[in-house]
Amino acid sequence: MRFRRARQLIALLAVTAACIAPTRTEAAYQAKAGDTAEAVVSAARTVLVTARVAAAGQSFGPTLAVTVADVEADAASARDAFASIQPPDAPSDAIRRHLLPEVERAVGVIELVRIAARRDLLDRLPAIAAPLQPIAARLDRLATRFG
Amino acid sequence: MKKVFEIFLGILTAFGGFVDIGDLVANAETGARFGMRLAGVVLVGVVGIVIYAEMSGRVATMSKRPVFDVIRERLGARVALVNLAASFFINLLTVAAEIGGLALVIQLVTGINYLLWVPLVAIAVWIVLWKVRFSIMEKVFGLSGLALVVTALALWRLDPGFVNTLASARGFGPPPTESWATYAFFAIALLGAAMTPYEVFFFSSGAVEEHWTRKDLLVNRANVYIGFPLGGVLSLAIMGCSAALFEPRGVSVDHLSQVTLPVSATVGKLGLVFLLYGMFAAIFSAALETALSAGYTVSQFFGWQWGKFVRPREAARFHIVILLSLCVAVLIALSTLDPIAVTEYSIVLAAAALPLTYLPILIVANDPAYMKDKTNSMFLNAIAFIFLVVLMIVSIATIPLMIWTKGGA
Repeated sequence: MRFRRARQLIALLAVTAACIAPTRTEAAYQAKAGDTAEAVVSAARTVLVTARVAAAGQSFGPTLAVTVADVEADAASARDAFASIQPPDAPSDAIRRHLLPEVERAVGVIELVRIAARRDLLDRLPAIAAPLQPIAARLDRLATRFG
Repeated sequence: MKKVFEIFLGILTAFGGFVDIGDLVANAETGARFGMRLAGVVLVGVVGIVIYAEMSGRVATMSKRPVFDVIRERLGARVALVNLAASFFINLLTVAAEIGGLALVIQLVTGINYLLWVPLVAIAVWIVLWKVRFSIMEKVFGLSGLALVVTALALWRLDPGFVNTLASARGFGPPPTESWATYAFFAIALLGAAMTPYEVFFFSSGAVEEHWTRKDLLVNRANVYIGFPLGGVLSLAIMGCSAALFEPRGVSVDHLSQVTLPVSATVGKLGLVFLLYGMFAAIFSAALETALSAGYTVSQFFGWQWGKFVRPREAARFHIVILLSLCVAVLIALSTLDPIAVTEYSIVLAAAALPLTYLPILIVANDPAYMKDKTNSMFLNAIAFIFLVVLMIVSIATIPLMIWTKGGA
């Protein structure tokens, strides 16, 4: 009797562990998309300000590098969290198709800025970070649409 | 002349020592999300800490005993134990937040991961506590915190004449992108950052450490009535810088590194040096105060000898409590819990526990057995009572709001 209950419990745990919890509704998924877009916009615009400060010689290399690394972690974390969510339906698939590529682009550029900052290539940061301007604008529109 | 200088020095020390990691984080985050719409809460918090810090200093001066000791005697061991349990746990979190904050500042200077600095910072704090005289440690770090005035200069450059800042401060309620629940939650966080419980325990114990007498009541009043509001101005400057640079861009402030950008962008490298130095000094000062506060409250509850005014061997248990508190704080910081998150929880939980700290102080400050002819005036009692009611409401609302808003997310 005890072993049967134990096997049932183990089976229940295995089934539970195998499930990736989906977002229940399109509205919830859309809200999550909006939050993700906002988080990445925040990181992108912080990097743009940081790059401007770097080019003007108004800060120190380590401080700038830490700033970029901090917000890179935020953007990457937002991307990973959103990418791991199971879309509940076809409209949510479309949301994912619109949002994820832009988020990936933003994170990719931020990574390049971080690498340059750590190499003390501070005068090059604005040029490397420049693509973030239009990316952030598009993400901002998506955040408004989904939010 | 000597008295005037003493008062002036006290004001500057209170001014520079007002800001800690909680104020830096709460004001910067709030400015980025709400502009200056919650500036009024900072003012309310400053008035609150002024009232209660003055009371606790007066209690200690007139009774020649620190507030916690008097609370235990006047209200009984059970009330004191509840007070101790709440304030000690929050104090530990705050020590961890301050240690983490210091390590983050050093990371900003060196580029080396903050985790490596945590144990070294804790050792530095302990060495200062062990070796440096109370008055010297209070004044050196308090005065050094004045370097944070550079945030006011940065705000002036971002918003000359403070035109937009003042206009934003007149607004009430959340912006369209935020909810009332989150607005209320951040208001609570700001209140918790301004009215930290450790401040009153440290202030009153400090009065005994420095052997204050009736003649020092004027110094006490000048420190809190002038010094603390000036410190509040620094908090508002931090909020304003964040509001001016980040709110229009939709940037959320989640890192201490972002707090440096408004000063760098407007004042340059020299300004950044002042800011980092000021941050380090202010947070170091707070780390000393919170660690001492841990020792004070536990020792005063159990009736152990405490204080830096006696030799360490005469207050061995006091120093052991401080050392253990620092060790626990280091473990919390090394757990890789984000120091900013630890700070946020410490200030919010502090807000929830405020009535436990302030009600006993209000009761004792009205007892002529301890206060003699220096009990509270009716006017002060009226203001303090209103504050108490507000703090009770805040205390009840804190945990539900924290859950409802997912910690202000």
